[in-house]
Amino acid sequence: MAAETGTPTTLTLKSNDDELFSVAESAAILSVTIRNMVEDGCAGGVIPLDNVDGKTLASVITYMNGISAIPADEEKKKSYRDKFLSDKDFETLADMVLAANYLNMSCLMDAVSAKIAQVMEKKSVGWVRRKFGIENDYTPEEEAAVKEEHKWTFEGVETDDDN
Amino acid sequence: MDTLLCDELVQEIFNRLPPPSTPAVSLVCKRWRRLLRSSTTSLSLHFPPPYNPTTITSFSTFLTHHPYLSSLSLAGGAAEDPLIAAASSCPNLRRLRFWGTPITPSSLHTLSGYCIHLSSIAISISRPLSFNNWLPYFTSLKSLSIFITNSYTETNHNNNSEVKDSIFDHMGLSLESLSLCGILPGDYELSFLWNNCKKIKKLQFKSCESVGDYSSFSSFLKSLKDLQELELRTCRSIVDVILLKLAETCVSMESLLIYDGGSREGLLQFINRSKCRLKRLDVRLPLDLNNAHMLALSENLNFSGLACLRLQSCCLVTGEGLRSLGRTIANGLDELSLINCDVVERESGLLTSLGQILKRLRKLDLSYNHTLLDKELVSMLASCNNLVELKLRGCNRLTKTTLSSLVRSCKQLQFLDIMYCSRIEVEAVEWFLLNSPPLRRLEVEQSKLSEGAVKRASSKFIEIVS
Repeated sequence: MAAETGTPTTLTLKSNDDELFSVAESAAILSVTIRNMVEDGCAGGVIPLDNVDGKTLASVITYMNGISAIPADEEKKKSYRDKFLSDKDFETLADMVLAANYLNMSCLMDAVSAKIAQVMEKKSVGWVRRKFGIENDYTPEEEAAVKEEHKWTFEGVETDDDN
Repeated sequence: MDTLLCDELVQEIFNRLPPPSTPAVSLVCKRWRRLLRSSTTSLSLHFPPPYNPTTITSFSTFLTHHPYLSSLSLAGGAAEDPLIAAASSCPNLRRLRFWGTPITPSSLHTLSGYCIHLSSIAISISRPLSFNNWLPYFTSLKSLSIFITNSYTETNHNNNSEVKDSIFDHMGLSLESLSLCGILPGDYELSFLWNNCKKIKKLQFKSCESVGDYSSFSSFLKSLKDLQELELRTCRSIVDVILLKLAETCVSMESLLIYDGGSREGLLQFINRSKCRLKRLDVRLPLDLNNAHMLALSENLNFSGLACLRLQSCCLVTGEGLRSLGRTIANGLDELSLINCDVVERESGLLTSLGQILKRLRKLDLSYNHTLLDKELVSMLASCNNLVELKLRGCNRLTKTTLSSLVRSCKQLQFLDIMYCSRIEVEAVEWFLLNSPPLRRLEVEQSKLSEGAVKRASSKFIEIVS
């Protein structure tokens, strides 16, 4: 690592649609995948990221820069993540969860999964199938059986022993 | 895209869904149903009658599809069948609650064979009580909560003297937490517990009129070396026995809770004689706790490390007692609750002096003091510069004046509850949100939130609880 020279090292990342991005090494190593490359000394030239497109990579880099500018304060970092994800649509979130997984960025991964869950929570089964591109593979009988099982899931709040 | 997201990613998302909407996920497709089931570790189920081979089989099948289930809460059972069906399908259960019909010893014995890893059980049992034919078979059990349901039948009374000695009577159970509800005089069979539980750390009694056999119970208390927490709720007739015994022998207890039913004299003796270094005292004793107890608490140096003092509806306590106790525990007290205690409203200047004495206070709860006035609270807050949490729920007389003093004096305040404070209005809430930098959670009615307040809360990531 060339971090000791004083000038911040910059890495060049390449998306799968051949866009190039410059990012400070200190921000990029939030990705364990990139950090491993840096540590192995194979981050000298252009780093190709075959599973991430340019639009998603641009977002991820915005996140890397934003979050690494915040000092060690978990509350503030959480606030930043919430704000960063607040205006993302479902498709972008889905791309980001894949990118976060590929880049091995656990903090982004957690935040995006939670955001997707939050969006899904209020939607119908039909909406979820459409958004995820899933075909309904249940027969009407099987679907009825699943609904029958739902009668057992108890929605009441568990009674605590307090008071 | 579904095929793009691998199983682990889909499960990551499922794990973050709030429990009520999780089951719907299995309706999406078969793959999702499989993924949901194999990522589920905890279920709360309701299995209503009819119970016949068909319904029971489909219930069991449903449960066997959850291979990693470790916690199950089952409600509404009018018979034992659902419990046994559940148990036989979930060999990995660690935690089981069954709210329904009392379970017979023989069913419990069966259960212990199916779920050998159970560490926590909450169940109802009925008289005649027996423990030795099932409890020892749960070898991993740490926490037991028992609700004793039915009333006495004649035969029980006649059997009182015949508690048979069996090989299990002195075997040492590894239970650490024991909670009992509904003990009546004559429940001598409990001596099995008293004789065999030596490792209890947390002991709870709820609506108990007796402890069964007093002699084995007092040796039980005497032998408890690790008792840390005791809770007595609505147990007037046994409070004395327990406290006096503990005052003599116990040194380890850190937390004591007594609600609704105490004994003035017993409590006083406990306070005078106890060698426990209590950290937490939580009492709701409108008729039993008075000034003498407060003074006694301040005189017994073992209590000088008290970190949390909670008094609810203790209307006999006066300012003299509170001030005197406050001076003794000022260095350690972190949390003070005076909920619905009319001394707060009755004695002008009390809060001011408590504020001056208790400079280290971080959490304060003055809820349901309906006639508490701004000027009393404001002059207390002026000294409480370390407050992190403040609850003022249901304090009807407080106004915007209180909020502005909070902004001035309590610069570290993160949690505030002003629910049902009818004189704190929309505009005051908005002003407070705009002016209180470190706030993280505000509890207030939805109707008191202006558009500006909502916007501010969301931009500053302040959680609003309505």
